[in-house]
Amino acid sequence: MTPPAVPPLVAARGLSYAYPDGSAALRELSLEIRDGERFGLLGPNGCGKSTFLRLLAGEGIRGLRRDSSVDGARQRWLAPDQPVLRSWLSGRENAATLLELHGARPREARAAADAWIERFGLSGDANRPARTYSSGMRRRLALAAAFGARPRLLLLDEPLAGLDPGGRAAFATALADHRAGGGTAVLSVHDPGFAAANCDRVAFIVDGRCAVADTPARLLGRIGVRPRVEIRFPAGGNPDRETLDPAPAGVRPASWGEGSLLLEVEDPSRALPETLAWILRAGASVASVDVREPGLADAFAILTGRDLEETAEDTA
Amino acid sequence: MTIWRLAWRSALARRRLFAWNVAVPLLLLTPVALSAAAAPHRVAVFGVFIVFFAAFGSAIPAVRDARDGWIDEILRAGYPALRWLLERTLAGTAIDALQLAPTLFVLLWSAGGLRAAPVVLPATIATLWFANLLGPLVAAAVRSLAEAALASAALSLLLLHFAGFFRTPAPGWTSLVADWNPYTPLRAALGAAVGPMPMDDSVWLRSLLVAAGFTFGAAIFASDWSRRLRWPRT
Repeated sequence: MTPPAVPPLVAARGLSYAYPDGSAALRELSLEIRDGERFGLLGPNGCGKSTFLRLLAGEGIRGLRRDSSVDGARQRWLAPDQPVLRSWLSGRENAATLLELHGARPREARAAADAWIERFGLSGDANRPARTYSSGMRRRLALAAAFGARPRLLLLDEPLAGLDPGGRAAFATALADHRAGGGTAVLSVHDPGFAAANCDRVAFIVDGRCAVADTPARLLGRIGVRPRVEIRFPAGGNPDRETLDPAPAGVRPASWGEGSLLLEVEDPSRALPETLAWILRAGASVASVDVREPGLADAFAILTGRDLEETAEDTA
Repeated sequence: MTIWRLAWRSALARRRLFAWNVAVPLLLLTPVALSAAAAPHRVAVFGVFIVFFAAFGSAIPAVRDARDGWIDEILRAGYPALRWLLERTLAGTAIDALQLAPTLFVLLWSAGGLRAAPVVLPATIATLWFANLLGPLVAAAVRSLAEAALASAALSLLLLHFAGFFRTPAPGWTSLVADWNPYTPLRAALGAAVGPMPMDDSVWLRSLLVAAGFTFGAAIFASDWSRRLRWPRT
Protein backbone atom coordinates (compact mmCIF):
# COMPACT_ATOMS: atom_id res chain seq x y z
CA MET A 1 0.00 0.00 0.00
CA THR A 2 1.38 3.44 -0.92
CA PRO A 3 1.73 5.79 2.05
CA PRO A 4 -0.48 8.86 1.79
CA ALA A 5 1.27 11.81 0.18
CA VAL A 6 2.54 14.29 2.75
CA PRO A 7 1.38 17.79 1.83
CA PRO A 8 4.21 20.28 1.41
CA LEU A 9 4.89 22.83 4.12
CA VAL A 10 4.79 25.58 1.53
CA ALA A 11 3.53 25.37 -2.03
CA ALA A 12 3.77 28.07 -4.66
CA ARG A 13 1.59 27.41 -7.69
CA GLY A 14 1.75 29.87 -10.52
CA LEU A 15 2.87 32.58 -8.12
CA SER A 16 3.24 35.93 -9.82
CA TYR A 17 4.20 39.22 -8.26
CA ALA A 18 4.93 42.68 -9.62
CA TYR A 19 6.49 45.62 -7.80
CA PRO A 20 4.46 48.80 -7.34
CA ASP A 21 6.21 50.26 -10.39
CA GLY A 22 4.77 47.42 -12.49
CA SER A 23 7.98 45.47 -13.09
CA ALA A 24 7.49 41.73 -12.71
CA ALA A 25 9.50 40.02 -9.98
CA LEU A 26 7.91 36.56 -10.09
CA ARG A 27 6.27 34.98 -13.13
CA GLU A 28 4.15 31.90 -12.54
CA LEU A 29 6.66 30.48 -10.09
CA SER A 30 5.81 26.98 -8.90
CA LEU A 31 7.68 24.92 -6.33
CA GLU A 32 7.09 22.98 -3.14
CA ILE A 33 9.03 23.07 0.11
CA ARG A 34 8.73 20.02 2.33
CA ASP A 35 8.63 19.93 6.07
CA GLY A 36 12.09 19.66 7.63
CA GLU A 37 14.21 20.28 4.58
CA ARG A 38 16.93 22.79 3.84
CA PHE A 39 15.84 24.27 0.56
CA GLY A 40 18.26 26.34 -1.48
CA LEU A 41 17.33 28.99 -4.03
CA LEU A 42 20.05 29.43 -6.61
CA GLY A 43 19.94 32.05 -9.32
CA PRO A 44 21.57 35.23 -10.58
CA ASN A 45 20.93 38.64 -9.03
CA GLY A 46 17.48 40.03 -9.72
CA CYS A 47 15.89 36.68 -10.55
CA GLY A 48 13.28 36.94 -7.77
CA LYS A 49 14.80 34.98 -4.87
CA SER A 50 14.53 37.79 -2.33
CA THR A 51 10.99 38.66 -3.41
CA PHE A 52 9.96 35.03 -3.05
CA LEU A 53 11.44 34.90 0.46
CA ARG A 54 9.64 38.12 1.41
CA LEU A 55 6.35 36.74 0.15
CA LEU A 56 6.94 33.53 2.12
CA ALA A 57 7.49 35.66 5.21
CA GLY A 58 4.56 37.96 4.49
CA GLU A 59 0.89 37.88 5.25
CA GLY A 60 -0.16 35.70 2.34
CA ILE A 61 -0.77 36.11 -1.36
CA ARG A 62 -2.72 34.31 -4.05
CA GLY A 63 -0.73 31.39 -5.45
CA LEU A 64 1.10 30.70 -2.20
CA ARG A 65 -0.17 28.12 0.28
CA ARG A 66 1.36 27.55 3.70
CA ASP A 67 0.68 24.76 6.12
CA SER A 68 -1.18 25.95 9.21
CA SER A 69 1.89 25.14 11.35
CA VAL A 70 3.75 28.05 9.70
CA ASP A 71 0.79 30.33 9.11
CA GLY A 72 1.39 32.39 12.24
CA ALA A 73 3.83 35.26 11.80
CA ARG A 74 5.87 34.04 14.76
CA GLN A 75 6.43 30.63 13.19
CA ARG A 76 8.33 32.29 10.37
CA TRP A 77 11.51 34.32 10.53
CA LEU A 78 13.06 36.20 7.65
CA ALA A 79 16.70 37.22 7.94
CA PRO A 80 16.89 39.83 5.17
CA ASP A 81 19.94 40.35 2.98
CA GLN A 82 20.65 43.60 4.86
CA PRO A 83 20.59 42.78 8.60
CA VAL A 84 18.08 44.99 10.44
CA LEU A 85 19.98 46.29 13.47
CA ARG A 86 19.91 49.38 15.65
CA SER A 87 23.41 50.72 15.22
CA TRP A 88 23.59 52.34 18.67
CA LEU A 89 22.43 49.26 20.59
CA SER A 90 24.87 46.52 21.51
CA GLY A 91 24.90 43.24 19.66
CA ARG A 92 23.29 41.54 22.66
CA GLU A 93 20.53 44.18 22.91
CA ASN A 94 19.85 43.95 19.19
CA ALA A 95 19.51 40.17 19.21
CA ALA A 96 17.37 40.19 22.37
CA THR A 97 15.09 42.90 20.96
CA LEU A 98 14.55 40.97 17.73
CA LEU A 99 13.70 37.86 19.73
CA GLU A 100 11.29 39.83 21.95
CA LEU A 101 9.55 41.17 18.87
CA HIS A 102 8.98 37.59 17.80
CA GLY A 103 7.28 36.80 21.08
CA ALA A 104 10.07 35.70 23.46
CA ARG A 105 9.86 36.94 27.05
CA PRO A 106 12.67 39.38 27.92
CA ARG A 107 14.56 36.87 30.07
CA GLU A 108 14.24 34.07 27.49
CA ALA A 109 15.24 36.47 24.75
CA ARG A 110 18.42 37.48 26.58
CA ALA A 111 19.34 33.84 27.30
CA ALA A 112 18.76 32.75 23.70
CA ALA A 113 20.63 35.78 22.39
CA ASP A 114 23.63 35.02 24.61
CA ALA A 115 23.70 31.34 23.65
CA TRP A 116 23.53 31.99 19.91
CA ILE A 117 25.89 34.94 19.98
CA GLU A 118 28.41 32.56 21.51
CA ARG A 119 27.74 29.92 18.84
CA PHE A 120 28.44 32.51 16.16
CA GLY A 121 31.66 33.58 17.86
CA LEU A 122 30.57 37.08 18.91
CA SER A 123 30.67 36.75 22.70
CA GLY A 124 33.68 39.02 23.03
CA ASP A 125 31.93 41.76 21.04
CA ALA A 126 28.38 41.29 22.33
CA ASN A 127 28.40 44.48 24.42
CA ARG A 128 29.80 46.70 21.70
CA PRO A 129 27.41 48.92 19.70
CA ALA A 130 26.40 47.31 16.42
CA ARG A 131 27.72 50.36 14.54
CA THR A 132 31.25 49.16 15.33
CA TYR A 133 30.61 45.76 13.73
CA SER A 134 32.01 44.73 10.36
CA SER A 135 29.53 43.50 7.76
CA GLY A 136 30.48 39.91 8.56
CA MET A 137 29.83 40.48 12.26
CA ARG A 138 26.48 42.07 11.49
CA ARG A 139 25.62 39.01 9.44
CA ARG A 140 26.66 36.68 12.28
CA LEU A 141 24.53 38.65 14.71
CA ALA A 142 21.48 38.54 12.44
CA LEU A 143 21.93 34.80 12.01
CA ALA A 144 22.35 34.32 15.78
CA ALA A 145 19.01 36.06 16.36
CA ALA A 146 17.33 34.08 13.58
CA PHE A 147 18.43 30.69 14.90
CA GLY A 148 17.81 31.80 18.48
CA ALA A 149 14.12 32.22 17.69
CA ARG A 150 13.89 28.55 16.58
CA PRO A 151 11.16 29.30 14.03
CA ARG A 152 9.43 26.45 12.22
CA LEU A 153 10.22 28.14 8.93
CA LEU A 154 13.49 30.00 8.67
CA LEU A 155 13.92 32.21 5.62
CA LEU A 156 17.46 33.37 4.95
CA ASP A 157 18.26 35.87 2.22
CA GLU A 158 21.90 35.60 1.17
CA PRO A 159 23.06 34.41 4.59
CA LEU A 160 26.62 33.82 3.40
CA ALA A 161 27.25 37.42 2.35
CA GLY A 162 30.23 38.76 4.26
CA LEU A 163 30.83 35.59 6.28
CA ASP A 164 34.40 34.35 6.69
CA PRO A 165 35.16 30.58 6.68
CA GLY A 166 34.55 30.37 10.44
CA GLY A 167 31.21 32.09 10.06
CA ARG A 168 30.22 29.82 7.18
CA ALA A 169 31.10 26.76 9.23
CA ALA A 170 29.07 28.04 12.21
CA PHE A 171 26.17 28.77 9.88
CA ALA A 172 26.31 25.33 8.22
CA THR A 173 26.31 23.65 11.65
CA ALA A 174 23.41 25.81 12.87
CA LEU A 175 21.48 24.99 9.70
CA ALA A 176 22.01 21.26 10.23
CA ASP A 177 20.97 21.55 13.89
CA HIS A 178 17.88 23.52 12.93
CA ARG A 179 16.89 20.73 10.56
CA ALA A 180 17.63 18.09 13.19
CA GLY A 181 15.29 19.98 15.52
CA GLY A 182 12.47 19.67 12.99
CA GLY A 183 12.81 23.13 11.47
CA THR A 184 12.62 23.97 7.79
CA ALA A 185 14.93 26.47 6.15
CA VAL A 186 14.76 28.22 2.80
CA LEU A 187 17.89 30.08 1.81
CA SER A 188 18.99 32.05 -1.21
CA VAL A 189 22.66 31.60 -1.99
CA HIS A 190 25.16 32.51 -4.66
CA ASP A 191 27.59 29.75 -3.75
CA PRO A 192 26.70 26.54 -5.61
CA GLY A 193 29.26 24.58 -3.61
CA PHE A 194 27.64 25.55 -0.31
CA ALA A 195 24.19 24.73 -1.67
CA ALA A 196 25.37 21.33 -2.89
CA ALA A 197 26.91 20.49 0.48
CA ASN A 198 24.25 21.93 2.80
CA CYS A 199 20.87 21.84 1.07
CA ASP A 200 18.58 18.85 0.78
CA ARG A 201 17.05 20.28 -2.38
CA VAL A 202 17.90 23.18 -4.61
CA ALA A 203 15.73 25.20 -6.98
CA PHE A 204 17.21 27.01 -9.97
CA ILE A 205 15.40 30.35 -10.26
CA VAL A 206 15.57 32.28 -13.51
CA ASP A 207 13.54 35.35 -14.47
CA GLY A 208 11.05 34.86 -11.64
CA ARG A 209 10.39 31.22 -12.47
CA CYS A 210 11.57 27.96 -10.99
CA ALA A 211 13.39 26.19 -13.83
CA VAL A 212 13.99 23.00 -11.89
CA ALA A 213 14.10 21.82 -8.27
CA ASP A 214 15.70 18.61 -7.04
CA THR A 215 18.40 17.21 -4.79
CA PRO A 216 21.94 18.34 -5.68
CA ALA A 217 22.90 14.77 -6.57
CA ARG A 218 19.96 14.38 -8.95
CA LEU A 219 20.59 17.77 -10.53
CA LEU A 220 24.18 16.74 -11.22
CA GLY A 221 22.99 13.34 -12.45
CA ARG A 222 20.69 15.03 -14.96
CA ILE A 223 23.47 16.83 -16.77
CA GLY A 224 25.89 13.93 -17.10
CA VAL A 225 28.88 16.27 -17.28
CA ARG A 226 32.28 14.73 -16.81
CA PRO A 227 35.12 16.34 -14.90
CA ARG A 228 36.77 19.12 -16.83
CA VAL A 229 40.44 19.91 -17.36
CA GLU A 230 41.39 23.43 -18.34
CA ILE A 231 44.83 23.86 -19.86
CA ARG A 232 46.16 27.41 -20.11
CA PHE A 233 48.94 28.38 -22.50
CA PRO A 234 51.41 31.24 -22.15
CA ALA A 235 51.43 33.94 -24.82
CA GLY A 236 52.57 32.34 -28.09
CA GLY A 237 52.41 28.88 -26.55
CA ASN A 238 49.20 27.67 -28.20
CA PRO A 239 49.42 24.29 -29.96
CA ASP A 240 49.11 24.20 -33.70
CA ARG A 241 45.55 22.90 -34.11
CA GLU A 242 46.25 21.80 -37.73
CA THR A 243 48.90 19.34 -36.66
CA LEU A 244 47.20 18.25 -33.43
CA ASP A 245 46.67 14.48 -33.25
CA PRO A 246 43.25 13.12 -32.33
CA ALA A 247 42.60 13.44 -28.58
CA PRO A 248 43.52 10.46 -26.41
CA ALA A 249 40.80 7.97 -25.50
CA GLY A 250 38.40 9.28 -22.82
CA VAL A 251 39.29 12.91 -23.55
CA ARG A 252 37.02 15.27 -25.51
CA PRO A 253 37.86 18.90 -26.30
CA ALA A 254 34.87 20.91 -25.05
CA SER A 255 35.93 24.38 -26.13
CA TRP A 256 38.96 26.39 -27.26
CA GLY A 257 39.36 29.72 -25.57
CA GLU A 258 41.77 32.62 -25.89
CA GLY A 259 44.98 30.94 -24.68
CA SER A 260 43.16 28.00 -23.13
CA LEU A 261 41.64 24.64 -23.91
CA LEU A 262 38.77 23.07 -21.98
CA LEU A 263 38.55 19.28 -22.08
CA GLU A 264 36.01 16.81 -20.75
CA VAL A 265 37.75 13.73 -19.39
CA GLU A 266 36.41 10.51 -17.94
CA ASP A 267 39.14 10.00 -15.36
CA PRO A 268 41.46 12.97 -14.86
CA SER A 269 44.04 11.09 -12.77
CA ARG A 270 44.62 8.55 -15.54
CA ALA A 271 44.15 10.78 -18.56
CA LEU A 272 46.19 13.77 -17.46
CA PRO A 273 49.75 12.53 -18.33
CA GLU A 274 48.59 11.32 -21.72
CA THR A 275 46.70 14.56 -22.36
CA LEU A 276 49.70 16.71 -21.55
CA ALA A 277 51.92 14.61 -23.77
CA TRP A 278 49.36 15.02 -26.59
CA ILE A 279 49.38 18.79 -26.23
CA LEU A 280 53.15 19.10 -25.94
CA ARG A 281 53.63 16.98 -29.06
CA ALA A 282 51.79 19.69 -31.01
CA GLY A 283 54.44 22.25 -30.02
CA ALA A 284 52.52 23.90 -27.17
CA SER A 285 53.84 25.30 -23.91
CA VAL A 286 51.66 24.85 -20.82
CA ALA A 287 51.23 27.58 -18.20
CA SER A 288 48.74 25.84 -15.90
CA VAL A 289 46.41 22.90 -15.62
CA ASP A 290 43.17 23.05 -13.63
CA VAL A 291 40.97 20.05 -12.93
CA ARG A 292 37.32 20.77 -12.02
CA GLU A 293 34.64 18.40 -10.90
CA PRO A 294 31.23 19.35 -12.30
CA GLY A 295 29.16 21.30 -9.81
CA LEU A 296 25.79 22.95 -9.46
CA ALA A 297 27.06 25.95 -11.43
CA ASP A 298 27.56 23.63 -14.43
CA ALA A 299 24.15 22.06 -13.79
CA PHE A 300 22.59 25.53 -13.63
CA ALA A 301 24.21 26.58 -16.90
CA ILE A 302 23.19 23.41 -18.73
CA LEU A 303 19.66 23.07 -17.35
CA THR A 304 18.67 26.75 -17.58
CA GLY A 305 20.90 27.91 -20.45
CA ARG A 306 21.98 30.80 -18.24
CA ASP A 307 25.04 31.73 -16.25
CA LEU A 308 24.80 32.09 -12.47
CA GLU A 309 27.03 35.16 -12.62
CA GLU A 310 24.77 37.20 -14.87
CA THR A 311 22.24 39.72 -13.55
CA ALA A 312 18.67 40.46 -14.52
CA GLU A 313 19.88 43.55 -16.44
CA ASP A 314 22.24 41.40 -18.52
CA THR A 315 19.35 39.31 -19.78
CA ALA A 316 16.68 41.99 -20.06
CA MET B 1 5.82 46.31 25.80
CA THR B 2 8.76 45.52 23.52
CA ILE B 3 8.46 48.78 21.60
CA TRP B 4 8.28 50.78 24.82
CA ARG B 5 11.45 49.04 26.08
CA LEU B 6 13.15 49.45 22.70
CA ALA B 7 12.44 53.19 22.71
CA TRP B 8 13.93 53.58 26.18
CA ARG B 9 16.93 51.39 25.38
CA SER B 10 17.55 53.46 22.28
CA ALA B 11 17.20 56.76 24.13
CA LEU B 12 19.48 55.70 26.97
CA ALA B 13 22.06 54.06 24.70
CA ARG B 14 22.68 57.42 23.03
CA ARG B 15 23.65 59.30 26.19
CA ARG B 16 25.22 62.23 24.39
CA LEU B 17 22.10 62.81 22.30
CA PHE B 18 19.97 62.50 25.42
CA ALA B 19 22.11 65.12 27.17
CA TRP B 20 21.83 67.44 24.18
CA ASN B 21 18.07 67.02 24.20
CA VAL B 22 18.04 68.21 27.80
CA ALA B 23 20.65 70.96 27.37
CA VAL B 24 19.44 72.59 24.13
CA PRO B 25 15.92 73.44 25.39
CA LEU B 26 17.46 74.77 28.59
CA LEU B 27 19.99 76.90 26.72
CA LEU B 28 17.46 78.27 24.27
CA LEU B 29 14.45 78.76 26.52
CA THR B 30 15.95 79.83 29.84
CA PRO B 31 16.83 83.31 28.52
CA VAL B 32 13.29 83.61 27.17
CA ALA B 33 11.76 82.47 30.44
CA LEU B 34 13.86 84.96 32.42
CA SER B 35 13.43 87.82 29.98
CA ALA B 36 11.06 90.72 30.24
CA ALA B 37 9.39 89.75 26.96
CA ALA B 38 5.64 90.12 26.83
CA ALA B 39 3.75 87.05 28.02
CA PRO B 40 2.22 86.19 24.59
CA HIS B 41 5.71 86.19 23.06
CA ARG B 42 7.05 83.90 25.73
CA VAL B 43 4.06 81.60 25.30
CA ALA B 44 4.63 81.47 21.53
CA VAL B 45 8.33 80.65 21.84
CA PHE B 46 7.69 77.90 24.39
CA GLY B 47 4.74 76.49 22.44
CA VAL B 48 6.61 76.35 19.13
CA PHE B 49 9.61 74.74 20.77
CA ILE B 50 7.64 72.07 22.63
CA VAL B 51 5.57 71.12 19.59
CA PHE B 52 8.56 71.04 17.22
CA PHE B 53 10.61 69.10 19.75
CA ALA B 54 8.05 66.30 19.79
CA ALA B 55 6.93 66.45 16.16
CA PHE B 56 10.43 66.31 14.68
CA GLY B 57 11.53 63.80 17.28
CA SER B 58 8.69 61.50 16.27
CA ALA B 59 8.48 61.88 12.47
CA ILE B 60 12.18 61.73 11.65
CA PRO B 61 12.91 58.51 13.59
CA ALA B 62 9.75 57.01 12.07
CA VAL B 63 11.10 57.64 8.57
CA ARG B 64 14.52 56.33 9.59
CA ASP B 65 12.99 53.19 11.13
CA ALA B 66 10.93 52.63 7.99
CA ARG B 67 13.92 53.13 5.71
CA ASP B 68 16.13 50.81 7.81
CA GLY B 69 13.51 48.06 7.71
CA TRP B 70 12.72 48.18 11.44
CA ILE B 71 9.02 48.78 11.01
CA ASP B 72 8.83 46.00 8.44
CA GLU B 73 10.68 43.74 10.88
CA ILE B 74 8.33 44.65 13.74
CA LEU B 75 5.14 44.07 11.79
CA ARG B 76 6.42 40.98 10.01
CA ALA B 77 7.14 39.49 13.42
CA GLY B 78 3.42 39.66 14.09
CA TYR B 79 3.60 42.63 16.44
CA PRO B 80 0.17 44.32 16.28
CA ALA B 81 0.31 47.64 14.45
CA LEU B 82 -1.90 49.30 17.06
CA ARG B 83 0.39 48.23 19.90
CA TRP B 84 3.40 49.44 17.96
CA LEU B 85 1.76 52.83 17.43
CA LEU B 86 0.53 53.30 21.00
CA GLU B 87 3.71 52.06 22.69
CA ARG B 88 5.83 54.20 20.41
CA THR B 89 3.70 57.28 21.12
CA LEU B 90 3.65 56.61 24.85
CA ALA B 91 7.42 56.12 25.02
CA GLY B 92 8.06 59.19 22.87
CA THR B 93 5.81 61.29 25.10
CA ALA B 94 7.49 60.06 28.29
CA ILE B 95 11.02 60.59 26.96
CA ASP B 96 10.21 64.05 25.60
CA ALA B 97 8.58 65.02 28.91
CA LEU B 98 11.65 63.85 30.82
CA GLN B 99 13.98 65.80 28.55
CA LEU B 100 11.86 68.96 28.74
CA ALA B 101 11.27 68.74 32.50
CA PRO B 102 14.22 70.97 33.54
CA THR B 103 13.17 73.64 31.02
CA LEU B 104 9.57 73.55 32.21
CA PHE B 105 10.78 73.83 35.79
CA VAL B 106 12.74 76.98 34.88
CA LEU B 107 9.66 78.42 33.17
CA LEU B 108 7.38 77.72 36.13
CA TRP B 109 9.93 78.91 38.67
CA SER B 110 10.57 82.15 36.73
CA ALA B 111 6.80 82.73 36.59
CA GLY B 112 6.60 82.84 40.33
CA GLY B 113 6.76 79.35 41.67
CA LEU B 114 5.10 76.08 40.76
CA ARG B 115 1.51 77.29 41.14
CA ALA B 116 0.78 76.73 37.42
CA ALA B 117 2.31 73.24 37.37
CA PRO B 118 -1.06 71.45 37.69
CA VAL B 119 -2.17 72.94 34.36
CA VAL B 120 1.14 73.25 32.49
CA LEU B 121 2.28 69.67 33.03
CA PRO B 122 -0.89 67.92 31.80
CA ALA B 123 -1.18 70.35 28.90
CA THR B 124 2.44 69.69 27.92
CA ILE B 125 1.98 65.94 28.15
CA ALA B 126 -1.20 66.08 26.05
CA THR B 127 0.65 68.19 23.47
CA LEU B 128 3.60 65.80 23.40
CA TRP B 129 1.23 62.85 22.98
CA PHE B 130 -0.52 64.45 20.03
CA ALA B 131 2.71 65.57 18.34
CA ASN B 132 4.22 62.10 18.82
CA LEU B 133 1.13 60.50 17.32
CA LEU B 134 1.45 62.75 14.26
CA GLY B 135 5.03 61.52 13.60
CA PRO B 136 4.17 58.16 12.00
CA LEU B 137 1.33 59.80 10.06
CA VAL B 138 3.75 62.28 8.56
CA ALA B 139 6.31 59.51 7.95
CA ALA B 140 3.70 57.45 6.11
CA ALA B 141 3.06 60.32 3.73
CA VAL B 142 6.66 61.18 2.84
CA ARG B 143 9.66 59.50 1.25
CA SER B 144 12.68 61.04 2.95
CA LEU B 145 13.97 62.61 6.15
CA ALA B 146 13.98 66.06 4.54
CA GLU B 147 10.35 65.71 3.50
CA ALA B 148 9.48 64.52 7.00
CA ALA B 149 11.10 67.60 8.56
CA LEU B 150 9.34 69.90 6.13
CA ALA B 151 5.93 68.27 6.52
CA SER B 152 6.25 68.20 10.32
CA ALA B 153 7.17 71.86 10.43
CA ALA B 154 4.32 72.88 8.12
CA LEU B 155 1.70 70.83 9.93
CA SER B 156 2.88 71.95 13.36
CA LEU B 157 2.96 75.63 12.40
CA LEU B 158 -0.52 75.37 10.96
CA LEU B 159 -1.90 73.77 14.12
CA LEU B 160 -0.01 76.23 16.33
CA HIS B 161 -1.39 79.13 14.32
CA PHE B 162 -4.96 77.87 14.63
CA ALA B 163 -4.42 77.25 18.33
CA GLY B 164 -3.84 80.97 18.69
CA PHE B 165 -0.14 80.95 19.56
CA PHE B 166 0.68 83.72 17.10
CA ARG B 167 -2.42 85.87 17.30
CA THR B 168 -5.58 85.72 19.36
CA PRO B 169 -8.29 83.97 17.36
CA ALA B 170 -10.95 86.37 16.21
CA PRO B 171 -14.53 85.52 17.00
CA GLY B 172 -15.97 83.33 14.28
CA TRP B 173 -14.58 80.27 12.56
CA THR B 174 -10.95 80.80 13.71
CA SER B 175 -12.15 80.87 17.27
CA LEU B 176 -14.16 77.71 16.67
CA VAL B 177 -11.11 75.96 15.20
CA ALA B 178 -9.03 77.07 18.17
CA ASP B 179 -11.62 75.65 20.54
CA TRP B 180 -11.18 72.22 18.94
CA ASN B 181 -7.42 72.38 18.45
CA PRO B 182 -5.34 69.86 20.46
CA TYR B 183 -2.62 72.46 21.08
CA THR B 184 -4.96 75.06 22.58
CA PRO B 185 -4.65 73.71 26.16
CA LEU B 186 -0.89 74.27 25.99
CA ARG B 187 -1.39 77.88 24.93
CA ALA B 188 -3.93 78.43 27.65
CA ALA B 189 -1.79 76.73 30.31
CA LEU B 190 1.40 78.59 29.35
CA GLY B 191 -0.60 81.81 29.29
CA ALA B 192 -1.91 81.13 32.79
CA ALA B 193 1.65 80.39 33.98
CA VAL B 194 3.51 83.39 32.60
CA GLY B 195 0.92 86.11 32.53
CA PRO B 196 -2.39 87.30 33.67
CA MET B 197 -4.31 85.16 31.18
CA PRO B 198 -6.95 83.21 33.08
CA MET B 199 -7.54 79.73 31.79
CA ASP B 200 -10.98 78.69 30.62
CA ASP B 201 -11.52 75.13 31.84
CA SER B 202 -13.74 74.31 28.86
CA VAL B 203 -10.61 74.50 26.66
CA TRP B 204 -9.50 71.26 28.20
CA LEU B 205 -12.54 69.25 27.37
CA ARG B 206 -12.90 70.30 23.74
CA SER B 207 -9.24 70.03 22.84
CA LEU B 208 -8.72 66.77 24.64
CA LEU B 209 -11.77 65.39 22.86
CA VAL B 210 -9.99 66.19 19.58
CA ALA B 211 -6.79 64.48 20.76
CA ALA B 212 -8.78 61.47 21.94
CA GLY B 213 -10.69 61.35 18.66
CA PHE B 214 -7.46 61.51 16.70
CA THR B 215 -6.00 58.72 18.84
CA PHE B 216 -9.12 56.63 18.24
CA GLY B 217 -8.90 57.25 14.49
CA ALA B 218 -5.21 56.38 14.50
CA ALA B 219 -6.02 53.16 16.33
CA ILE B 220 -8.61 52.20 13.72
CA PHE B 221 -6.31 52.95 10.80
CA ALA B 222 -3.05 51.86 12.46
CA SER B 223 -2.75 48.77 10.31
CA ASP B 224 -3.18 50.58 6.98
CA TRP B 225 -1.08 53.44 8.21
CA SER B 226 1.80 51.23 9.28
CA ARG B 227 1.70 49.30 6.00
CA ARG B 228 2.85 52.45 4.25
CA LEU B 229 5.91 52.45 6.49
CA ARG B 230 7.00 48.96 5.47
CA TRP B 231 10.04 49.54 3.32
CA PRO B 232 11.09 47.88 1.09
CA ARG B 233 7.54 47.86 -0.18
CA THR B 234 6.95 44.38 -1.58
